[in-house]
Amino acid sequence: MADSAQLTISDVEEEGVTIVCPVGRLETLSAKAFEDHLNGVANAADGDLLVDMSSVDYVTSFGLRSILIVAKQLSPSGRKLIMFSPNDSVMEVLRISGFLKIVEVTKTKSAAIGAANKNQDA
Amino acid sequence: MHLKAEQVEVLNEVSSLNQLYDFIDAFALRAGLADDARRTVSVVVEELFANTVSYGYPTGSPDQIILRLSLTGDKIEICLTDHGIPFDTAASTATDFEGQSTEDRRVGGLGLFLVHQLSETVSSHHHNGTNFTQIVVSRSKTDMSG
Repeated sequence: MADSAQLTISDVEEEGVTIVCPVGRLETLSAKAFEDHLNGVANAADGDLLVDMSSVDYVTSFGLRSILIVAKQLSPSGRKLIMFSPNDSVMEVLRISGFLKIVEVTKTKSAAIGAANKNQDA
Repeated sequence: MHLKAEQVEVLNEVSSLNQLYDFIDAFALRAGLADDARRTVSVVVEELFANTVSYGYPTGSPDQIILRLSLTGDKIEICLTDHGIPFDTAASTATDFEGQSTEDRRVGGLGLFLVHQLSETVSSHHHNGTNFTQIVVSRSKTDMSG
């Protein structure tokens, strides 16, 4: 668990993939804790990284920055960061900022799991 | 519906965002804003405030920044008043982030780009050492693709 006043983060393991579940606002005050948490999860597993966005109220540019940093760190080893189930506001910010071209976003969890490379030791 | 303007005054430090979020949430509740509108206001205020605090006070001088929100008809007006280094928010962005490739992407400037994309109008002016930034967002934004 890594918490800030604006964001609570937990993880679940499902069908061989690790899913990070942030709850709250992904913004200036919470972005660094979120980034550190994603990096920790990425280092502990070796498959793709899934992020359940369904309980993220909104994302600002600082939050986008942390997502981008982690996605870029995963990229050389052929790993992906996949987000799923964002609300309309989050989806709009992802679209406006061009992130839909960088990071895979699916509507449902099952689609994200289907698109993910599983952890080797699962 | 016309809701009398409400305002809050906070210190020019990033942790003041907590107070601003509480203020916005309370305003949204009283004004009966839908989640979409509340989130748009929150993102715009966060970006403007973070930008002002990050670049407006290189010597770290303390300041009081005022956020005022008002609702008139279908428009929500956001007004930020500070005394930092003047920054022309209205003219700050022409970057087409959607047109950039992954490798060329830079996140700097993205915040103000988002502000412009989410807002109907962005204006800023300076008077006697005070900066006024005014943003108007639509309360019922059904199509933000423009």
